[in-house]
Amino acid sequence: MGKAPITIKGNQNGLRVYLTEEVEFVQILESLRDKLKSSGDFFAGANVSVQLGKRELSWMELSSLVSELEQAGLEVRVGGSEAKRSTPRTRPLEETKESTRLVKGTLRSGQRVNFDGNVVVLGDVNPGAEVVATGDIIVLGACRGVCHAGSKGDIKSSVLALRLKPTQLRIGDYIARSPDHEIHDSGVPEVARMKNKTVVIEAYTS
Amino acid sequence: MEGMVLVITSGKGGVGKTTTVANIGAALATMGKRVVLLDADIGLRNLDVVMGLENRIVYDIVNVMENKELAVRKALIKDKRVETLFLLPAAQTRDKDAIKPEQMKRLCDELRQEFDYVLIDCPAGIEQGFRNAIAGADSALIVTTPEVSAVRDADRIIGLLEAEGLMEPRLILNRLRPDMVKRGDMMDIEDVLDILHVDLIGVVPDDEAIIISANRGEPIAYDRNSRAGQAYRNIAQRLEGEEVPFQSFENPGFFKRLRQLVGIEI
Repeated sequence: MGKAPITIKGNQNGLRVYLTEEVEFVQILESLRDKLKSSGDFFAGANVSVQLGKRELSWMELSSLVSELEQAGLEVRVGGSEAKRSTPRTRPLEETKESTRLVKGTLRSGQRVNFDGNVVVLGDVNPGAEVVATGDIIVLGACRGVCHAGSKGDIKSSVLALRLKPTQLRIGDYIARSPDHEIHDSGVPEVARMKNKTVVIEAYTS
Repeated sequence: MEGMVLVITSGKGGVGKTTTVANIGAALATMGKRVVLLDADIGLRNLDVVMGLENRIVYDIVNVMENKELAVRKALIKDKRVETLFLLPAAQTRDKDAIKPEQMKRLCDELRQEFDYVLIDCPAGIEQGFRNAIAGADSALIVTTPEVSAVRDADRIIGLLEAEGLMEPRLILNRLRPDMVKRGDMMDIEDVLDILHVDLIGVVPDDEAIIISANRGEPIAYDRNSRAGQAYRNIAQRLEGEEVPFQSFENPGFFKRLRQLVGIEI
C-alpha cells in the first residue's frame, strides 16, 4: 500500500487538497469521493485549493475533481501547478508578404478582379463574376461565381466564404466544380483548400 | 420642371421590356402625366405594335437624328386612347449603328423639356443598342423573370449600369407564377433579390391576357379587371412616389413576405 492518493491539509486560509504523483487519476477521484462522503458536512462552506504538484490534468479530469468538491459544498480554487507547461506548441503567426486588395461591394456577372496578392470581397461574388488572385481569396458574403486562388501556382492558397456555393473553384492548377444536383446550403462559413491533390471544403474555424 | 428619363432594360430578350414600357406609360398618362415612349430597338421595333400605332408611323427616330429640319414633334404619334401619351417609334429598315449615344442624349434632353416622363425601351443585349438607350437616362428600371438565365443577365446589366453611373436601378419582376413558386419549381422574390441586391418596384404576375392585349395593340394597363394591369398601374404610382402595397397573389404568406421585404405599411 503506497502513499494515500490525496491528502487534505488545512490552515487558516482554508483547505488544501494535495494530489499524489504517480497515482492514477481514477484512484485520486475515488479517494476524494470517499473522503468527502465520510466527512459529511465537515467541509461544507470551506475554501479549498487543489494542489496539482507536478501532475498534469486534462480538462475533463480537472472538471470532475472540481465538481466533486463543489457538490460537497466547497469553494474551489485551483492552484499550485509545478507541471512543465505542455501546451501544444503554437505556430508563429504567419504573415503574408503579399499585398491584399479590398473589394467593397458585390461583384456582378461579367465583372472580374485579377490581383497579384490576396483579395477580400466585402459583398457577394455573383454567378458569372470571377476573382483571380495569386494568394488567398476571402468573400465576406456569398460566393456563387468562379474563384481562382493561387493563380500562379501556390497550392497552399485557399478560398473562404461566408456562403461557399461557387460554380467553380480553382486552386493553383486544380479545378473543382460544384456538383450538378443542388447542394443544400450548409449555412456556415467554409474554406476550400488543397489536400492530396483534391480540393477539400471544410467548415471554417478560426 | 424638367421631366425624368427612364430606361427600361433587362439584358435578356423576351422578358417583358416593351410590354412594361407600354403599360407603365399608359398608366402614367392615365394619371394625367405627359409621357413619351421612345423605342430604342432600331431594326427590331415592337413598341408601336404593342401600342397599336404601327399604321400611324410616318417618321421615326433615325429620320429625326439624320434630318436637322425635322422637328421631333412631327415624328411623335399620339396614343389612340389617352391625350398625354406619345410614341417616338424606332426605324425598322435600319439597325442599331444608325445612331450614336451623344445623339440620344441630346434627344432625351430635348424631350424632357416637354414631358414629365421619357420612357426608353432598350433592346436586348449589351452592345451598341444598349449603349445608345442608356446614354440619355437619369435612372433605370430592370425587368427580369424569375428564371436563372434571366437573373444572370439582369445582374450583368446592373453591373454595366453601375459602371456608367446609373446607380440604384429598380427591379420589376415579371411573369411570376405563384403556383410554381409554391411548388418550388420557380424562384421566388427573395431568391432573385438575394442575387441582384436592388430595390423592387413591382411584381407582375404571369397573365394570358397580356399576350392577347399585346397582339391587339391595347395595353393591359387600361383593363381595370386585370391583375397584371393593376400591377403596372401600381408601378406607375410608385414611380410617382406613392406607397402602394404589393398585391397578394392568392398566397397570404407571399403578401406578408413582400410587405416585410419592402417595409411597406398598409
